[in-house]
Amino acid sequence: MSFDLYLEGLSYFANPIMFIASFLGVLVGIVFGALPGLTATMTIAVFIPFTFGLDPVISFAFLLGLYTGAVYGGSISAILINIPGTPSAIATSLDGYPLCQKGRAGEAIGISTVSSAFGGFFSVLVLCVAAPLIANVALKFSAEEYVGITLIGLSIIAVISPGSIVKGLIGGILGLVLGTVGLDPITGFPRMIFGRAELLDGIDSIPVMIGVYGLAEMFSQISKNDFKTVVSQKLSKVIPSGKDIKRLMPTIFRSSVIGTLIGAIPAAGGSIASLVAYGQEKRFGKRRHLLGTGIIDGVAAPEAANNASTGGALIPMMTLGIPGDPMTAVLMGGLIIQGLRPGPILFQQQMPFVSSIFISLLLSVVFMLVIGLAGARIFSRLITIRKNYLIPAILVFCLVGSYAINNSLFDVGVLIIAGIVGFLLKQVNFSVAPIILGMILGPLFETNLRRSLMLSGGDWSTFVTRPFSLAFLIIVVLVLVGPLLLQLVRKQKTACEDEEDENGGV
Amino acid sequence: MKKGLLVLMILALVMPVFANGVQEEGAYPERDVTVIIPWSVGGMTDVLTRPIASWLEKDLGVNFIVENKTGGSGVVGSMLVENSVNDGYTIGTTSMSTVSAKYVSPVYPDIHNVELISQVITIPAAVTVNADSPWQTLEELIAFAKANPGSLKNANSGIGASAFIYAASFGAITGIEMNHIPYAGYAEGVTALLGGHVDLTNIPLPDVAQHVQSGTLRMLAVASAERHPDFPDVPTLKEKGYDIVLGNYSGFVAPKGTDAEKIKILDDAIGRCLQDPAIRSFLLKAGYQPLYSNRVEFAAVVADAEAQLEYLVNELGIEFVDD
Amino acid sequence: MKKKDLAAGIVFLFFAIILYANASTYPVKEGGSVVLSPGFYPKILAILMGGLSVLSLFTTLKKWNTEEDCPAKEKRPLFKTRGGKLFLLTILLLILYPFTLKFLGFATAAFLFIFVLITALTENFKSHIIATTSISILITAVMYLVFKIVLQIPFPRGLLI
Repeated sequence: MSFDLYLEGLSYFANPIMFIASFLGVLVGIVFGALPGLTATMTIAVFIPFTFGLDPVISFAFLLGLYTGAVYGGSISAILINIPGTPSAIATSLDGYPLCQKGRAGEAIGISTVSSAFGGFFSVLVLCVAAPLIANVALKFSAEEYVGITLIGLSIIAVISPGSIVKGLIGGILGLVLGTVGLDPITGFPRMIFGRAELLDGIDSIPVMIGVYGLAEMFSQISKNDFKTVVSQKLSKVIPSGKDIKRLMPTIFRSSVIGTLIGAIPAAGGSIASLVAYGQEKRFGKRRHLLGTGIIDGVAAPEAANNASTGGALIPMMTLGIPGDPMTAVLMGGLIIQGLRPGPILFQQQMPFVSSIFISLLLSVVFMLVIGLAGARIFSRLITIRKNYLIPAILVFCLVGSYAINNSLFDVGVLIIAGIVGFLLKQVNFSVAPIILGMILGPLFETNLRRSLMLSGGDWSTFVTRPFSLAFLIIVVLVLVGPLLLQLVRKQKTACEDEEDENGGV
Repeated sequence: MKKGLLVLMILALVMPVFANGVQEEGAYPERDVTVIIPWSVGGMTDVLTRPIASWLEKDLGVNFIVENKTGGSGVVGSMLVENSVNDGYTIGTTSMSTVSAKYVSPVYPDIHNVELISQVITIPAAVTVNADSPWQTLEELIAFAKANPGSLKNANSGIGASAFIYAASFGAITGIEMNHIPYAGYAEGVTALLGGHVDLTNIPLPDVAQHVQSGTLRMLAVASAERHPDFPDVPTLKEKGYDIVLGNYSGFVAPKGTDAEKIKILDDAIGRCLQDPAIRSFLLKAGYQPLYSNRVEFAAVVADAEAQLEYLVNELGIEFVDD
Repeated sequence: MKKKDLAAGIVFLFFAIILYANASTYPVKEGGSVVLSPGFYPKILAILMGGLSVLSLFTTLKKWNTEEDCPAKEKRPLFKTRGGKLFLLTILLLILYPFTLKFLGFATAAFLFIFVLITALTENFKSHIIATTSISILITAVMYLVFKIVLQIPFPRGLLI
């Protein structure tokens, strides 16, 4: 790999069309990512055909803008109306929505924008510098390690469940059960499909997510019969203060590392990354006891992680030709249609194109920052629209959006049922996040568990004899019993150090 | 309310009939043709169908609107093609998984419920191992497998899915026993081979080609009728004495009962398209082997695939778990 | 609250039992670990869910005779309140939407949905009728632009647009 060729890619900077393409991509991505029901994957899939006629560099500037924008945009609806625009924004809604209810939506969006930009920027740097290295480590991950990673994700369900842990776990298992619907990936046996071809591929998690979040939230607002009270939004603090950023920097940095690494593992993706980032904040963050009540730390962690996972997911795609998540799978199709098949050959021989991709990503991070901060006021003003107008509009978007995912009325049915069930569960104080997370992680966990045992010939010790797998399992144990350990440590030092802590703290 | 709904329902049922009734047909095609792809955007079929569709647009002078109707590993879209109006304005794409679906899914499309138009590509299966593995030739691999039955791990793309069928056929004809490990798709299976978690795979050429070229994987044989132009040194299974051709195909189909004249018009146009050097080089670059067969020859290809599956299921007792 | 918790516990327990029974009918793969059979994992989930719902039932019943946590607000049943009625109307509209979508086309169905729901949610809607109509048209137009023109989603063809 020659550095000259790398620099050649820089010449694309001189091309104004690339700027325009990237800007448009980010803008469209944010809008579509923020609309409930339009996922990042779908946004990219829909726009790829528009790019066929364009120069590959220009078309990729646009598509990568869409990708970055859509992943970021999902957080806006998570904060404003408690509907994650994409699955990777689920963790964002845990603190983002409470912030909005306190009238601090603008501040939350501001923090989300800065964290996302940092996460995105960090992952692009890693992609530039260490892509082949990380890709080779990720290759060492076999089914056993995937079991470990999904278990980390699942164990965090117990950590983030507000209120009763038993209810959180029941919700998580309900999600895992929903995840078993469809053809059993190992034997091909159809489970719980009730003779419906639509269920062969399982229940799409997106309509369920929009249902249990969006519809259920609208239902409870409607049944409260109060359409006049509107939370007034403070708009003064949209651009985060230097003090806040300085305080959050360790959180954002940790989450960016987590996001990039998890993103680089094929199939793991942004939803696990943001969840793990939030979970570690809940376990080890300075203000963990306040997490879930609406603090900016809870927005910064998942947002830095999910945007860092975008660059991460491009690592295996660019270096090995293996898409890291559904979105990059679609992006890869777009490249192949352009006659450029990503993988080791492209990475070695088309250095100018590869560096143009890095540049596109950097551009899109910059545009995301600009558009996000400029738009935060407008976005948070949207929520002050009177509810008797806002609720019908959101509902109809949920309806049409879930139809549009697979062009299927079946999904609309799934959405409505999920909405009603989600509403009922809210009545009995169940939180819905564990259900969706269980549904997304469940199939990954089950297939890899069974695949591991097929690879090892039925030997369970394979999970502890492989170093990475063992390390992940230790993390799972730490996550689950972590608070107990911390308490023990605390108790020992309370006697002498607590006083200092109080004097030093805040 | 009920009455109103009923009236609406009847109206909706009557509408398409009425619409068809008034249409006076001119020279086909005179309006936009919808192409249903039962697989996702950016997938194998999608990548090869889109350029062909836009070539047809120029050739036949109407729009070819590509719609991806995913779900049930292609079952949903394929059944949608079967149930579309057979006026020649809805066509679809097919591959071997349309044929194999009946062994794995309780609801499945039937290739005999559609009219074949033409085949456009073939994708040969291959025998590929990691470059770090001890096996330099096919003979060495088979000798090892025979000495250690059941120890080789073969990555496939899911039980009953294409790469599993190739692996089962390969095992049967060479007389070796392997441990079949299902992955979610070609990419995941190849990843496992790259990471050294499995020993070999029969996943087709496009997904292993660049790793073979970059030296991380080693292709021991290709399961096509002739050697592949990009890999002239890799022998075919036939040359090694195993008379078998394994691989997938992709082609166009129309709903049952579509006018034979219209099918011929489409078939001829696709034939011209596959002669265009630009299209050919695009397909080759993307890893496919362009191979045009007209509607009659295509029927033989499909019949071969069916016979192969029947043989696997009935003679070898390969089990597809079913109700 | 306790009654609701009790009901939820019972529902989940039933769900777990049905799930277990269903998973027991799945074929068992011969040879190899039991984990490889399609029924193994759903059975484990059923057992976990059953166990957890029994646990939650147990804790609810244990608290049963202690004092009510939020004492008698004398709530009217949800479905007799105006909010409850609106909730039911919303569900009805949602269920009707796919049918109207099929018969009348996507934009008309969307307009009707928004218009009816805003009318229902707005108290004294007569004075807001112009606002209601124009907002319904505006939202429908945005939806049409996004889904039909930009995304080119193939909606079922209805009688109108």
